[in-house]
Amino acid sequence: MVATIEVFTSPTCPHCPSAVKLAKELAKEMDDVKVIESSTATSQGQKRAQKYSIMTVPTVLVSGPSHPQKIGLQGTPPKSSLIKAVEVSLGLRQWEKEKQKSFFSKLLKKLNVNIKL
Amino acid sequence: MEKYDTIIIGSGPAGLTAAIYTVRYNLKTLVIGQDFGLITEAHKVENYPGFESASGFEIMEKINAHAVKLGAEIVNDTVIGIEKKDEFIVKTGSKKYQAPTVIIASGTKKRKLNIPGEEEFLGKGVSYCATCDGPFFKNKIVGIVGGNDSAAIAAELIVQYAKKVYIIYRKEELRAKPALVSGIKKNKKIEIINNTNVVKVGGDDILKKAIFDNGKEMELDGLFIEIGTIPVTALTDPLGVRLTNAKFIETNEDQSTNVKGVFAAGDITTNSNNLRQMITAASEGSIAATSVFNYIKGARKK
Repeated sequence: MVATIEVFTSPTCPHCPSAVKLAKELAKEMDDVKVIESSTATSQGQKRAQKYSIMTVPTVLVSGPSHPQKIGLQGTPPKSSLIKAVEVSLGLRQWEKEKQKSFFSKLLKKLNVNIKL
Repeated sequence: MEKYDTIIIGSGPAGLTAAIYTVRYNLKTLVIGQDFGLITEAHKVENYPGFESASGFEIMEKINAHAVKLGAEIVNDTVIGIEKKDEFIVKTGSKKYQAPTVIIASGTKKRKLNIPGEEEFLGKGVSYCATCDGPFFKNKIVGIVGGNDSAAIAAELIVQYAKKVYIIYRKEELRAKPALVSGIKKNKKIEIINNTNVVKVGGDDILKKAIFDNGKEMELDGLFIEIGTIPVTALTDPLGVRLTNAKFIETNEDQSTNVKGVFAAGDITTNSNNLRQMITAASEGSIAATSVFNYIKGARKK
């Protein structure tokens, strides 16, 4: 039962270090959270970015046993949104319910959150 | 709820410099911010004293380390509201903090074109950050909207990756600094399209084209929008902080605003002759901190 936060970065991206820092901070604060950094400067990272049609960094993908479909957040997400995405992935929150809430639906629209696979 | 002497909103040059000063005034200081602000998108800063040439991010890392070393508490989060009761209650998504003073240093964000397709293709070809997303456009065709320094710098940067860059500008002549414009005009991979507005972008899963106001279409893989910035003042509206027509915070010489206890510094204000540079942001931060100190000292005497 582990949620994975994957942060896509590039070496030239100035907002990426804060996104990685935020994800790592959350992994320390919450149990069962793993962080992966995928640098688009590596061929592995490029392949993964292509797989999810990611053309902007930082992009954060969150997935877990209760929500294997990736939840995607563009830019450095507010900490509270990242926590919610992790909780949805771990089954601690219902994604459908979250989508109804105005704050989250606004965010969904703004951040183009739910990346379809 | 944790109490502070001052809460600084924004962790760019203004916010973190303010923190350096408030901490040295022995004020219990909290900084709430998500990253170092728009300055980090400057891949080269060559006019900040002491740094002949460095990226905005490199300089900010040093300022941040300085503030932390002195004892500033910095929280990596987003403020979603400020409420005025006896003191100010500053709310993030998960926590609330209290202080008698706040320094608004939330800066500016990139201006959008507000055209159909812009939101839909954001992160799918549309971008506001050349330093972030430039490398995604290796051997691609890229448009840059704008004619200012940032548009010119974005073109310089992206042309290192792209096979062709078009600068699309609504006026006759680019208004970027002459040195930048001459560099651009010499580069055969960059073409300037004058007197033209992008009115729509389209594609399928990703961006494929831009449509101009003259009816013409252009096939593009990426479109970078560099048409200036707008202040981030949504937080101060409920407090009744007075803004200019362009939505910048009207600030007095001591960085105070029309609302008692609310101070502002950096790109978000009307001060420093609207220069809006890293050094003026730092300067305003230091003045705001001093004013906060005087304000608190005055309040304690009463």
